[in-house]
Amino acid sequence: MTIVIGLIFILGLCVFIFQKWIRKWNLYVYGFAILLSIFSFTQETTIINMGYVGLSFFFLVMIASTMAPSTLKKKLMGNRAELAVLGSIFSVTHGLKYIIFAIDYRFFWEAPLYFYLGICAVLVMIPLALTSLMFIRKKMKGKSWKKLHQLSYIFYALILIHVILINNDRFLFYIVLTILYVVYKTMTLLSKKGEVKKIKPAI
Amino acid sequence: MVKNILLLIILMMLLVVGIMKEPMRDTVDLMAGASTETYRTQIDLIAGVSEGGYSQGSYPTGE
Repeated sequence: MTIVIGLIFILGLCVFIFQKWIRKWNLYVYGFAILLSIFSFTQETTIINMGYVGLSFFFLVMIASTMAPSTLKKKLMGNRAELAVLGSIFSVTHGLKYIIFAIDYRFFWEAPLYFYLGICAVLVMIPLALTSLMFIRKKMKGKSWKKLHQLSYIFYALILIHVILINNDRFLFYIVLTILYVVYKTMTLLSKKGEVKKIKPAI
Repeated sequence: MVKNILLLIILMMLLVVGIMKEPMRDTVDLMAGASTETYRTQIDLIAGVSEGGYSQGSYPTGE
């Protein structure tokens, strides 16, 4: 809990200060994240391997769109693709580490449900992450990109159920994060609906 | 704007609760790459890798 929330604050602050720099040099940032992930993969217990870093990145990605208009929201939205790609790099490391662990200890087919949900989440995440890369995104039609990225809600649901079902000491903390996201997302959707209704009579 | 301030307050509260509930020593240990009682992985227990926070082979033997 301390690590995830601490990272959310640190990452938020980094985006707030270095937003333009992160966008400009995003490929170098990805390269650094890949190197860090490779190093982490060779270790046993790290905050990347345990999935905390990936979760922190994705929580920022999720909550950014639900925030009220502000400089922080503007900056977070400006780096949303980068945050998602970085979160994906760290989450793939987490997923691979646990898959190899499960194969090593021969419980891959008898693992708990949350393990398979985690694998599903990574599988859903991969096309989303790849199409978040600007050079791939530019090759896609806007409509099909948007349609594909509707899958991100399934991905969010999968990771939230995944962390809740682990049922560890941080169970309540994950519940609070889930409720926070659901409430904020609902509020955003409702206010958008209200805006559309207000505009309609003028048309 | 109230929404953002509320979000900040909730996250701050979660951080404070986290610091109070999870010993800072365990958090620092995990950052350094050590599995701790607070941050033990549930899947470790399923795989039978460790029990009681000790890794296999590091149980106190009493010798």
